[in-house]
Amino acid sequence: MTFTVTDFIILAIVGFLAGRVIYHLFKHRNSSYCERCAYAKKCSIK
Amino acid sequence: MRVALIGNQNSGKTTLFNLLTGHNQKIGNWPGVTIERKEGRIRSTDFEIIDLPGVYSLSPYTIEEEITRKYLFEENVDLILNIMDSTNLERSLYLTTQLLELDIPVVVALNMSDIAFQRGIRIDYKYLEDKLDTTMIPISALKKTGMMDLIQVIKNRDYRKNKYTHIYDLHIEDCLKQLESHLDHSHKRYISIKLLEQDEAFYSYHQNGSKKIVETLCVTYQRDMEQVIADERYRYIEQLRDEAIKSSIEKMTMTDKLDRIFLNKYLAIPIFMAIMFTVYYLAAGPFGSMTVDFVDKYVSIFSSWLSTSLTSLGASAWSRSLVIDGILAGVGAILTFLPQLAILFLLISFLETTGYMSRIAFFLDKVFQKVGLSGKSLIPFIIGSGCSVPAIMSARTIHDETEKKMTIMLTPFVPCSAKLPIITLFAGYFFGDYSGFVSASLYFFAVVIIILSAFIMKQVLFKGKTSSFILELPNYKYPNFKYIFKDVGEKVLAFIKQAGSIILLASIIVWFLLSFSFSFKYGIDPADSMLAQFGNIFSWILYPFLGELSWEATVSAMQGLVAKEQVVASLAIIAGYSEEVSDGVFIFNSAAFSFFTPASAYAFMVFNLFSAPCFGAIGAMRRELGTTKRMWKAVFFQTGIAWVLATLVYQFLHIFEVIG
Repeated sequence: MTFTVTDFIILAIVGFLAGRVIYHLFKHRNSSYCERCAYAKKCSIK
Repeated sequence: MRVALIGNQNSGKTTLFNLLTGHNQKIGNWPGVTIERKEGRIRSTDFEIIDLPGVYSLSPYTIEEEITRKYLFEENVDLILNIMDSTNLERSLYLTTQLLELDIPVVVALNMSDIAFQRGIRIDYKYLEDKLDTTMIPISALKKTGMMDLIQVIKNRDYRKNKYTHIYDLHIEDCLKQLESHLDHSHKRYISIKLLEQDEAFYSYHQNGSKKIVETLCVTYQRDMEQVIADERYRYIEQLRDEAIKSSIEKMTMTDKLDRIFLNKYLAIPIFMAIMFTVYYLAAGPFGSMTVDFVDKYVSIFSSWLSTSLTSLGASAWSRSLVIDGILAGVGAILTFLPQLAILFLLISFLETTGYMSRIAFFLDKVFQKVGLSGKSLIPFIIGSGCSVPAIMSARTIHDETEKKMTIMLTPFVPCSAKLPIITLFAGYFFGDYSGFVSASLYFFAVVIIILSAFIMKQVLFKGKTSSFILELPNYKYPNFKYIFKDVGEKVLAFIKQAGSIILLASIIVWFLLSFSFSFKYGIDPADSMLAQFGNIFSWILYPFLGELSWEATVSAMQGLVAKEQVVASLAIIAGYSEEVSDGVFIFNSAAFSFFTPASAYAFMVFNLFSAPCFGAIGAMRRELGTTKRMWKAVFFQTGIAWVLATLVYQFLHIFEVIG
């Protein structure tokens, strides 16, 4: 495997995106299931 | 001063609350449940108002009724604002007569008085006011009429203080008087009635001699006293109705006319099937597939351009592969289904806004009652066509524990939005012109399996009575396009977010596991990758319904636990690594998935439809079922059913393939 400058930039961007997703998952680990569900932010029942 | 707003469901309570409070609202949840709790201040006053859940009575048969009763009984409420539906006074009066038994003044807002008038219903308000000894104000929350009168009456406290009595027969009234003399609490009449009804929650109010009074009366009637009280209440309400309501021959409304067709004994189910077939045919059939091809073409063009650009910028083969074969293949595969999902969201939202969805719950209620589920289970099932998480959460409003558990376990069987890419991918490729029919068949298959599973569970695991269900059928309405587009927009955005977060992360992980061996060597044969090694351990499980030992399909199906869309993303990433063996559509033209036949494709869809849902929904099941053990039982039950059904379907359909 070789590493070029472009590879490092790609790795940095992908790492940032993946890190952001993991950070959000970690941040909302104590939120309700509704809040964590992409399709059901407002799932209160009335 | 604290005002409690109370009324039947769909009586216009929330509209009235919004009108009375404007933007001055605080929204939260009732303790321990996700039922919304709204508080606010009435305009131009400093009066607090609370919007209590919609109920039909103060008997605690549902969580909403329990919350309402507890609040009225334990909090210091100064005034009850009871909203009644003028077009259905008889039913609304059941709750009103119960409220009048509390020691709290009641003001009645007669909503939809304009619609009642249009329908030829003439209400003698004065007569009702005198009989019930309460203040009544005709309003129309929708047209905002009567609001000032209502606010003025509340503000000036210019209302009757209810001294209404005597609605039961002489025996009961005598008995109530005796019981009241034994009590030293507020709400004496209400408590006395509860003691007569032998409501367990009120046993602690029994004083010396009061039990004897109740027992004597029970002997006189020789019937369930709760039923006796309910009969007496209805008798009184019917008497009120006959005197206070003069109805010219009621004109048939558009809703009545449409319900004659949509709720017809013989036509309801065929119409429902035709509508759902049309929905799935439009979303997943030839038209939907065309949209997929269209987006797929542009994703491919973008992919080629990006690959060339990265090469010219000096990217190595592995980093280019990460972006193109990993991220873009996974996320792109999901995004190609976006137009199809948008069509499905649009059609479901259209049905919701017209009022048809409530009818489904109404006519399927009878079928569900027979298999041990109440119509209330249908609400989670309908919500489940969007997402299993809110659907499972909504099951907590089911009072009966066994029905609740059954509903929670069966809700993930409903095809949610995330499962649609799997269905349309396989149906579109293997069933061509019949793809819409096949997609719709899976929906009906799910309904049949839910009914059968409920029946078996009720016979074996959860024996007992099924509770009754009251459902308010809203009027049919012209579709509100503003609401539809907002709703579809929100769901589409949620899908894009899901693709850009969980699917993106999972695609990177799949790419990594597929590109490297356990010794972290890059550029290996995919069959030697970590993902393949892992898949090989479990591939025998899927063999009975795939007809092939495929680690590729096995790991893809397992990724459904992360998110159901990820199954398609994984198939696309693995196919990208695999050799092209035919001219067919991408994924199925690869050596990894060319073994799929219509029989195994249908079986694979069935397995993904019924197997354990995503982690989010499993978490919701854990919470609602109460223990981890029950959650595991549910997961094994669902996956077991999925495996059995997929195997049966494959073995059956495979016979035709062999003969053919």
